[in-house]
Amino acid sequence: MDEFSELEQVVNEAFVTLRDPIYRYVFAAVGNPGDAEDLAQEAFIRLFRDLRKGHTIENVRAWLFRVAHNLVIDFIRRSPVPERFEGPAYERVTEEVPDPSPNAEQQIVGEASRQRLLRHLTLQERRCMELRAEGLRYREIAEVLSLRIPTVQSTLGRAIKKIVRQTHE
Amino acid sequence: MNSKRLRQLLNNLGHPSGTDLLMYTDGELTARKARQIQKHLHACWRCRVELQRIGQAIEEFMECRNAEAGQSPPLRGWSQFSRLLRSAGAEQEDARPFLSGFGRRPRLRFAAAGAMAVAVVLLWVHLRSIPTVSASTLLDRAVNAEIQTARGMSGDVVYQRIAFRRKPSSRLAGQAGEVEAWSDLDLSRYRQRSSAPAWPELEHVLQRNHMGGRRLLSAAAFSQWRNSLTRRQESVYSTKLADGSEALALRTVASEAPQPDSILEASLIVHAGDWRAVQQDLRVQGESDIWEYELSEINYAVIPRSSLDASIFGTPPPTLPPLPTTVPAPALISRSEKESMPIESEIQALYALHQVRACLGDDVQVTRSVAGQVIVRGVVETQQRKEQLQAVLQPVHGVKVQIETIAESQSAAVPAAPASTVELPGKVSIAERHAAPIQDALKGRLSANRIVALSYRAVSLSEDWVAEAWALRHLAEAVSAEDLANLTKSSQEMLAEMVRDHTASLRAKVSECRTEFEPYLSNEAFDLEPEAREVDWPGSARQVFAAATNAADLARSLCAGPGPLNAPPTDAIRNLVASLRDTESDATHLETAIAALLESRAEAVQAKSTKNK
Repeated sequence: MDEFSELEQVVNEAFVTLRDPIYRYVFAAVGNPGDAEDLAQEAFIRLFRDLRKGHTIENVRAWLFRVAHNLVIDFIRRSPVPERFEGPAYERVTEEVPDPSPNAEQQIVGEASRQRLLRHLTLQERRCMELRAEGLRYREIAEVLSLRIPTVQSTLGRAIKKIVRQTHE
Repeated sequence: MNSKRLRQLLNNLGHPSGTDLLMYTDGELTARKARQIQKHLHACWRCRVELQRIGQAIEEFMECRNAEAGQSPPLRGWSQFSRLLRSAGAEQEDARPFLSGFGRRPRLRFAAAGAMAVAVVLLWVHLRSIPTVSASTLLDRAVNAEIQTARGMSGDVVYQRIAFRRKPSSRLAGQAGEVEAWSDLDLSRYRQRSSAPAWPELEHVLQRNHMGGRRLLSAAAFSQWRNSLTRRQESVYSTKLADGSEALALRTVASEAPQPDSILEASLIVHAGDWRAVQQDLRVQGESDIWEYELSEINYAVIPRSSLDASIFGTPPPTLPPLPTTVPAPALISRSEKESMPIESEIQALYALHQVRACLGDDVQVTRSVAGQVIVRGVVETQQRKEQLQAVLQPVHGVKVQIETIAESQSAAVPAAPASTVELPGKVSIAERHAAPIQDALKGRLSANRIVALSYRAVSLSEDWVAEAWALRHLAEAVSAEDLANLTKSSQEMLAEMVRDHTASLRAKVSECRTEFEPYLSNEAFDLEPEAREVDWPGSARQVFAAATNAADLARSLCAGPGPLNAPPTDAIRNLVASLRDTESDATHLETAIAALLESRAEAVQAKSTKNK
């Protein structure tokens, strides 16, 4: 197998393993399946290009999340729509998500309560929570979001506190 | 005994904080601290309940996000990835590291290059029948082709003759006609002519949807419409033109509620050979039915200006008056220093824009094309600003400037863009909100008018420091660590000056905001011990950006959020002040980092030259 095919195979394997976590993170931020898919795929294409240039990547998962995060920031910056994590926009976009369930009434009630829960998180809290939910260590979250580790610790602490408060109201 | 040790002892007497318990759950504590907490948990019911609550909160969050992502799987089920990967593999500009593996053995290198050329040809033959690009890539390449064409013109005029047709609908008969356009990019002149009765109607549709102005059958215009959509679905497919040549088509469907005259669906067909847009199909929402239009190129030519009929443009425009002398001279821009390197030109361009504060809010981007050309493009509000930017960029060698005014980018007849109804990130209207959380937080401590004034000031400051943070982020993106190590001295000085200016201004705004809020916290203790941090570029600039945007987010939630607060009011103020402190600390660190990096590089250069002597 030549160098190129081997590289392609490595990236394909990384893609199969990590595409869902990356997609979930991007989707949570942009709220549109089409854009989320494009941006997630672009992160893996950048991985391919970077490896082909001979760069060494020690932590592929953190690297991919970081690239995906930067792609999201650039996308949001270009887009006229505010980032989905933010309150009003988040509500608007989730309203547009089709509900295929036959038990729609129950789903709507559940959806509203979920919206309430997540709406109280700030942008940074939501990002940290999303990354932690995907299994990233605090050090990796700090790397992806360009934060210091103590900031990640306190941000996650605040986010959990808010959710605790919400669920016990 | 120092204060840190004392604090540790006091901490051990009480309950672990919520953050400590979360870190314990996440396995993020040191072994010693984890043992302490474990021991405490055996003895303390209250903390065991707290730990359980943290577990429930995590469960809640996971349920929420899983439900959300589960409802919206990827639209195309990842079907395009293999093609995209193959397409990335076929890109030629990145092939050098592969060849470099053959070292300095010319025969092997030639053989490898030959084999690669054959492989590329075979790959091209294999891929020519299928689309190998995503929607964004196709548009990027087509727009880039337009830019290349414009760049190559000097003293020439682009002539286009385009046939258009409206297909018959249930209420309207079909109509057809032609339109001719002349575009003189050097002199910024444009003329369009059509005698077809249906043209004004189509022209109105194009203008209404951001496709009008001085561009017909243009990928850039298509891109502008596409970017104006909040939701869309897209596909790329290969097709053949009427003359049998290969083409790629992008079909974009707007997934928004249709408005009269809005484009519901558009296809752009580009020539596979040169990425030039040659055909466009539109489906438009009419008053009560759907109208379908087709535009296709009949003729495209580049004509010398001298051979053009003088009546086309009429009298040439007068020469522009000289610029006001307030434009600072780019004193540090030196043509002698490695001016052929794109990164040097890019920094000079960034520096020139920095001098007239175009890096703070103007829609102007500095990019490097695949071929290494530095391009400054953007849209500014007035002709005067355009001329000012052109003037400061003019001395910078090797830079292509493509700046237009809003009036030029969109025809004056275009109605206000729908974006005006969308609240952009970073811009918050306080006036429309009546119960911002800050009113709860400071009720009884300040008068209502004073609270409103404080809110306005905080939001205004946050917008200012976010603009500075964006400028720093752009610098971090433009200059990699590798670039930094290879910069010439004058470019280093320019970069350092830009970083210093932005961090100083950012710190001043952040500090002002902090001093406004700090008095409302009583005896708050913040960890002022500086932590040891790495000297890192561009990482430190990105950290400043992240910290600054977080602080702005907290300031906006507090001063202009929908309210009321769920947390005690002092918590929100404390979080904001802590975040402002973080931002100031990160900005200070960045200033130190960039100075240290440049100093160490200067020492390295000096040591090298001494050794050579």
